[in-house]
Amino acid sequence: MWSARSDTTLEIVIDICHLTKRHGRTAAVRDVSFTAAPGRVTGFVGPNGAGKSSTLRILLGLDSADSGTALIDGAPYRRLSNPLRTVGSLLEGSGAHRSRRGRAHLSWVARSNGIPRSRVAEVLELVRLGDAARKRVGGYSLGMGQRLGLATALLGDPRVLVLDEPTNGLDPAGIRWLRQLLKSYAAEGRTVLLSSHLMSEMANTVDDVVVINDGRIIVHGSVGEIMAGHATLEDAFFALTGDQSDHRRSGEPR
Amino acid sequence: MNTLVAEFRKLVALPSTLVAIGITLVCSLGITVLNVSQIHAKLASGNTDSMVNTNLVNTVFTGPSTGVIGVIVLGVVIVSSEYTANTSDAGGGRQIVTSLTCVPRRGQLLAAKGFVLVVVSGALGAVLVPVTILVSRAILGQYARPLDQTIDNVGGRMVAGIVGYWICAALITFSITVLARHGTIPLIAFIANTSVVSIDLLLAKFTPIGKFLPDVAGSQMFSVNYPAPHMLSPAWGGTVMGLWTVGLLGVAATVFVRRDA
Repeated sequence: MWSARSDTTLEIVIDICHLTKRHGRTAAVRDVSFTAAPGRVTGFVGPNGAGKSSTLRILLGLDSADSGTALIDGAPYRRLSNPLRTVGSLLEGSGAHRSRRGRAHLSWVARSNGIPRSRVAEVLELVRLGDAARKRVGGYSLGMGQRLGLATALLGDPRVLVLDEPTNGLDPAGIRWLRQLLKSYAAEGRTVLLSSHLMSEMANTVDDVVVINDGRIIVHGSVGEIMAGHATLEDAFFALTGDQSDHRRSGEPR
Repeated sequence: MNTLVAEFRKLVALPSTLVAIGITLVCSLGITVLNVSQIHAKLASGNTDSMVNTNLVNTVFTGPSTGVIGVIVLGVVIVSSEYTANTSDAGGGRQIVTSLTCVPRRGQLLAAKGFVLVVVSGALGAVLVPVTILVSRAILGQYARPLDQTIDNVGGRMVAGIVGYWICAALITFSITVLARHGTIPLIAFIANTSVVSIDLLLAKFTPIGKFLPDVAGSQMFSVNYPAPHMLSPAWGGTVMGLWTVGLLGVAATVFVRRDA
């Protein structure tokens, strides 16, 4: 199997420091700071519109922050050379044009970062997309699109994974497979940061939790610390946020 | 180099690219073959009364000058495909997110796209325009002498002019689509202006500054008997269209580098 590097002990930290982002008058992210450590699966948890995707988009260089920094191994994403060989990411589903075939999508992505073509077949096998890779992406189900997005994220055999709502559309077997994959990645010393609004699902997957609500970090710690005194992560979340997240005002941030 | 090859693969794997190349072929070669065949039939039958105002060279070059529609589509598609949202059933999302995570240096990404567009549209023009002339000569046979004389005198300039015009037109639509982040409006506006009603040509007929508009100025690179007065020379026409192209590319690049994806 192809590997991006021979040095598999390299550990990379994600460091987000005093990040603020406004969309017009609405603050999507307010003074957000946390770290995601190597060898750990860090869950970025909050309701829809809490600011999770906005934070991850800034981390991946897609949007710029009004203030603060988001660094991967001490550098902004935009300064990484062949970034897919360091950071694999999943945002906005498959990230492929609907008239392109899955395999053709992975082929240009691989070439853009100098990843050998043989790796395309490896990741297709890994995400169990199989024959669907010959179909056009517009004909994919939600789960197939998500698997293609995961294949894209894994293409560069990265030391860091940043995944936004990765379980969207996956069936129970797919969710279980993903959970095991992420845990095995972290066990190899890699850094895994994933966001979700599904608290119960996250409790079974992550080692550390960062809770965000209304653009602000509410709490950051290990799963054990966050859940102390609560039956579930969901109970802990509602206790920490004062049960306000179901009653969000309109014009909420992303 | 990886970015260039990736952008080339991205473009050729899109079905709409094949449509654009097909449009270029049909417009360039198809229209010329139809027009020239009609002229040949009239000349062969001796029925030349309706041909008093016919300019053989302009008839031959009508096809290639209309073929610009294909490269305009190409210039739109290479950008608009990045912003086309997937169906919600397939998880939504746009390719631009993948493109920018693969190549986060935005100037590099835009330059690669522009370079691929120049190569593809230039290659199409460099092949199709001479082929159109050769096919026209073959159809005209013994009646090809006026065409041969013009080609001998200004043929090189006309071929180079059309290729340059195609490349500039493709890059201008590319820049406008980068700014619009959507293909529909640039596509309708540019194709209508090229094929239905040329707003540029109307302005050139009635205002002195119309000759500096990109389409009018660029057309002087290859036109013979352009239907408006006081036009620029071929060299100045090419220069003015080139300046429009560089200016719009500069604006598009500045906006693309600074805005959120």
